[in-house]
Amino acid sequence: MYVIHTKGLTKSYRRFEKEEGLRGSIRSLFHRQFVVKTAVRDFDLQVKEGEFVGLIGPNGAGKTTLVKMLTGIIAPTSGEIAVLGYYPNKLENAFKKQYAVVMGQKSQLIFDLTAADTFLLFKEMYEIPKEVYRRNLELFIDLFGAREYLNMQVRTLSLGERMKMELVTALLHNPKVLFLDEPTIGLDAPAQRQIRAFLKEVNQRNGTTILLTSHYMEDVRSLCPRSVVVGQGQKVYDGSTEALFNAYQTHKKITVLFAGESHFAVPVGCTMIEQSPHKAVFTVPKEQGGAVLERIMGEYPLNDISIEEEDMGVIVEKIYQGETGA
Amino acid sequence: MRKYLEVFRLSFKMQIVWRFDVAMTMVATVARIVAAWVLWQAIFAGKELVGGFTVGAMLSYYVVCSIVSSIDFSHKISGEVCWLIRDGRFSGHMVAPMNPLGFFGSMQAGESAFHLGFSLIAAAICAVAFGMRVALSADILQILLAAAMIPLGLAFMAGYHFWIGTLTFKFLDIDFFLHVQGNVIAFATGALIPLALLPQGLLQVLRLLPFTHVVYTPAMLLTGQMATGEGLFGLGVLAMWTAAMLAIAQRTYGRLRVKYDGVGI
Repeated sequence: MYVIHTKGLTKSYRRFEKEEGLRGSIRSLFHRQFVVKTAVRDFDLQVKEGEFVGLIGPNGAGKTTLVKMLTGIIAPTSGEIAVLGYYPNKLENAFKKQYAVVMGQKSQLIFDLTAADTFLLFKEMYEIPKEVYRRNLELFIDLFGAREYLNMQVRTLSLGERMKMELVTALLHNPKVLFLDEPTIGLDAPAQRQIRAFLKEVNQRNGTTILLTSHYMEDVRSLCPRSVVVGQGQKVYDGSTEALFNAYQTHKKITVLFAGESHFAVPVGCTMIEQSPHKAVFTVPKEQGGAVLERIMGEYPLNDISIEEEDMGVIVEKIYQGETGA
Repeated sequence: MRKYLEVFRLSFKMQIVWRFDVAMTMVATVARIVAAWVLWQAIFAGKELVGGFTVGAMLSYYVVCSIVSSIDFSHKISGEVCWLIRDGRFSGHMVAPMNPLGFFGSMQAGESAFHLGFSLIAAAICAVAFGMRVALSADILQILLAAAMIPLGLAFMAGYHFWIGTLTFKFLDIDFFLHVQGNVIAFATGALIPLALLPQGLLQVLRLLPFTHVVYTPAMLLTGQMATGEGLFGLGVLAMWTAAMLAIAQRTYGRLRVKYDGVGI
C-alpha cells in the first residue's frame, strides 16, 4: 500500500482580474472578471512507506498546491487522492495525528513563549504519551545539540535555531509522513548541513516518509534518492535523483593554474568562463574530460588543476527548462 | 479536553510575559472604575434616583458590568480568524488535530481568566481607596445564576465571533460585519448604558436576544436588581442561543473551509 497516492489530481483556482487604474477598479465593481488557473493538472504520484522524495520545480510550478492538497488544507478540483488511506480534505483528527508539516516561512512556534511551551501544547494536542514525549524530546534535542534554546523566548532565537525547534515540534508525535517545504531557506551552510543530517537520521531511524520541497538542490541531492520534477502543474520527471542530475550534468568545470605566463587556447567543444595569463576556468563536455586533461597536462607547465561538478544553479535551470544534454 | 486546557494555560502564560503590560492593565482597570465613580457622582448630584437606580446601585452595576465586559475578548476572535484566513496562516489550524473553534474559545478563556483576576483586584483597591460600596445580592440563587450566565455568555460570544470570522472564507473582507456588530453588541449587552433606562417595548425584544444576557442580566442579578425568575428566563434564552450559535459556527466553518485556497503559504 502506498502512503501517498494521487491519480489525475487537478486543482484549478478562480482568480479575480481587473484592468489597471481607477477606471479599471470602478469597472470591476460592476462587472467582475475572473480567470481560471490550473495550478496542478492530472498529477499521478505514488510514494511508498519510508521513502524520502524531493519535489523540485520553479516558483509557481504547483509544488506547494500539491502539498496543500496532500495535507488537506485545500480541496482538489478533481482526481483521486489518498494519504495514509484518508481523503485529506476531510480533515479527520485521526489523519492529522499521523503527519506533520513544516513550512520554512510559516512558524508553528509561539513567539512570546519558549519552545518548551510549544512542545507542551503539541504533547497534549497530539495526545503523546508522557514516555514517548520525553524520549523523543531528549533524542531530537541531542541530535541538534539544542538544549540551551529550550527555555529561551522563541522571538529571541536565530533563524537556524528556530528552524531546529520547528522540526523538533513537528516530530514529537512520531508522524508517519513529514511534509517539508523549504526547511533550509535562509540558513547558513553549517545550519543547513545540521538539518540535513537530522532529517536523514529521522528518515532512517523512524522510517518516516518524507516529501521535501526545496529550491536548494543540495538538499534534494544529498537527502532524496527519488525526485519528482514539477513544471506548469504537471509531472515532468519521476525517478532517481542521481540519474536526474547525471542526465542534466553534461559538463565538468576545470580550473587550471599555469606555472608561468601562458597563452592558453580553449580546446574545441569547451566554453571559457574566465581567462588570464596565469589561470583558465572553462567547462568541458563530460565525455571529452579525459582527453582534454591529457592534452593540457602535456602541453602546459601547470601549478595546479581542479575538476568540479558543474554549478548547481546551471543544472537546476536546465532541469526546469527541460533541456536534456545527455 | 486536555488539549483545550493546555491552550487555556498557554493563553494565560502569554498574558504574563510582558511585565509593563501587566502593570498597565492594572492601572487602566482601576482608572476606569474611578472615572465611572466620578462621573456617576456628578450625574447623581442633588438626585436620589436616576432611572430607578440609587447612586450605590448604579455604581455597583457599573463595577460588575465593567468587570464582566472587561473579560470578554471574543471580538479578537473574528479579527484574528479573518486575518489568518486572508494571510494564508489559517492553514496551521486546519492541519492541527484540534477544533479551531475550541482553540480560539480556549485562548479567549485563558485571557479572560487573567483579566478577571486583575479586575477583581482593581475593584477591591477602588473599594478600599475611595470608599466605594459595591452592593452585591445576598440571594445565593441569583449569584449562582449569574455565575452560570457569565461563562455561557462568553461561550456564546466566542461562537458568534468565530462565525463572523469564518465568513472570510466566502467574503474575504468582513469589515462591514465587524463594524456593525461591534456597535450593536455594545448597545444590546448593556455595556454602554443600563438597559433598564430603555423603553419597555425595546427591552421586551432585547430580552429574547442573547446579547442582553451576556453582561446586563448577570450584572443585574449580582447587584440584586433583577428578580430570580427573570434571571432564570435569561439563562434559558442564553443557553438556547449558545447551543444554536456554536452549532451554526461549527457548521459554517465545515461548509466554508472548502473554499479556502491557502493563498500566501
